[in-house]
Amino acid sequence: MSGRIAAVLIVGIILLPLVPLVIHSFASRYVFPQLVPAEWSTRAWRIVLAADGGTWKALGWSVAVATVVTALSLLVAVPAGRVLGLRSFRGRRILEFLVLTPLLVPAVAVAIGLDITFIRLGLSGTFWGLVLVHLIPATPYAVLVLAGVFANYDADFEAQARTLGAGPLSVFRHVTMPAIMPGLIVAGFFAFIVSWSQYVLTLQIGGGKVLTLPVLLVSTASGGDVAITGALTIVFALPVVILLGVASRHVVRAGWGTTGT
Amino acid sequence: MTTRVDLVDLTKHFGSAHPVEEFSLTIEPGRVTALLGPSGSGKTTLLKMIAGVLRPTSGDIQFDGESVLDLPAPERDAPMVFHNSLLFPHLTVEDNVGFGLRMRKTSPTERNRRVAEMLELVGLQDFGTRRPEQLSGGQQQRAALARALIIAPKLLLLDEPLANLDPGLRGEMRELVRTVQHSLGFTTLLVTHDQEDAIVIADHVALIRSGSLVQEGVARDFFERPASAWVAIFFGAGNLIPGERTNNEVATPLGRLRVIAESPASGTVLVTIRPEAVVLDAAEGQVNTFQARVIAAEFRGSHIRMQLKAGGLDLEATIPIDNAKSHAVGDTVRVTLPPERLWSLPAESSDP
Repeated sequence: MSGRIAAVLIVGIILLPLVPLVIHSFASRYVFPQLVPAEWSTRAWRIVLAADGGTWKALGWSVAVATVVTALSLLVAVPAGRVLGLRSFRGRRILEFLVLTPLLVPAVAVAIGLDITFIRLGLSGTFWGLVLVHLIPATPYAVLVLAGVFANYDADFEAQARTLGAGPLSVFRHVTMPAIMPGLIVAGFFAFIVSWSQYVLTLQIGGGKVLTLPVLLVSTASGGDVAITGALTIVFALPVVILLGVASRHVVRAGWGTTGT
Repeated sequence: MTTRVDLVDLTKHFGSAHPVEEFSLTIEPGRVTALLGPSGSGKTTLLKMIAGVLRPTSGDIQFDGESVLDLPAPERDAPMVFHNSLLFPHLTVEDNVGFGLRMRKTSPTERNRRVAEMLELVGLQDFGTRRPEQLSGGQQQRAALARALIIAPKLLLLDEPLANLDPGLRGEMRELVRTVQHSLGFTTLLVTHDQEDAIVIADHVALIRSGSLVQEGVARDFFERPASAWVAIFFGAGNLIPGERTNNEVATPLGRLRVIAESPASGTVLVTIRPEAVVLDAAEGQVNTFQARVIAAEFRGSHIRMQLKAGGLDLEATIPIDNAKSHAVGDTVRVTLPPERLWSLPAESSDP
């Protein structure tokens, strides 16, 4: 029950700031002392959701890139987090620090250098170029979350499954995955959001050819039309809010993973 | 289906730690062998190597004479039952028990039939649809046992299966392991630090210390014919008397004591006797008899535990209540150590 209240609170805190945006997006005349707009209009939404407008294309790019980035970062983060969380070895601290460096160094600092390399490799302005560059900030978050999960994980469960006849794939599917599921969801969610909201790196590597939602949003916002910016912001934020709602429900429903009692 | 298991010079090193060192043992088919030793003596490491989840540094493991070193754990049919049961929390008791059959792609009807059979065997027939966390500690261990038994193992590996149970459940679980093993006859290796578990459950006991085999045999041997002073102390022998042995006699501070002829040591030895074998106030004219002073006498319900002092040595004796004359502290008593219960040990093997 308390878990449910927490989930409602989390989603509520995130939804509340969207309310003024919704009002703005439907306003046609809305000046300072007015509490609600003097006139309402769906103009902004018609423009933003127009079939031939850029929104759908940008949304498509954002979803595709973020999904692939999430999948790939988890693919790296599960084994990496496992080693960092489960094993103790010489140099583990240093390795952990190295994993974190992409989060400590500002993206702009490396973006230009990366851009030159990506142009040389022919990756600039391509889907895979974007995926690769988003993986730089996304993967550390996923690794960090899963290292924490594996630090409390009892690998004897896997030994148990193996002695009962489970091969490596079965062990992962029937034992490891159910055990780390909440962590997997959180890690995936982090990776998705990092990619979804990436602006600087997308602009640099995309070279203006690739327009994801944040890039479109910033250029729209600098255009000065508050209603259209409001509508587009909702389009940008809503998928994340929905995803968070789904994810938090799964996490609250809980898994296991630490030592059995 | 009974399998004979041979461990040959089995060794495991983790860097500078050597938890198992040239360990050799034969685990007889269809019997329960207990691997007994204090915690940290390498028992679990040994078990994990046999199960196939740890690779030995050197040595060999043979099932019916064939090396299984290259056989991965899932194909060894040697399931472990851990002390903390390790039931998969996201599966029901039924699905836990059926896990091994599911991995073997047994048909669901066959699986259900055998799961029901196993649950019945361990007395959990009404708990199949529960979650592991809804079971008591004893029930969890029984479910874990059923989960291992269902795959008709070549070798059943029990890692301190009773360690987390309270005394009442312990007895019940010992009984269960015993009866199940008798009715199904799987070769079983039980790891425990509790000598009582080993004595009650096992047919054969192997004592391990610092990764090496110290002594093996039937439980009684460890009490009456320990291989070293350490074994004698581990099994609570208490009395260790230093002396020089020539033939069947040992010159000790208590006088010349006659010992069991086939006890192994000669020269400088330690003589040991169980506290319960010490006799007070025996008839006159017996060998191995001397005077001792009573230092302490404690009533222990079924017997009296006495501390005696003679020739500057401390001796322990447990005396049955009904044929013990009451001896007060400070009294002098006549003590007899029956020669057929006196065992001599090599003195150099007595380490602290």
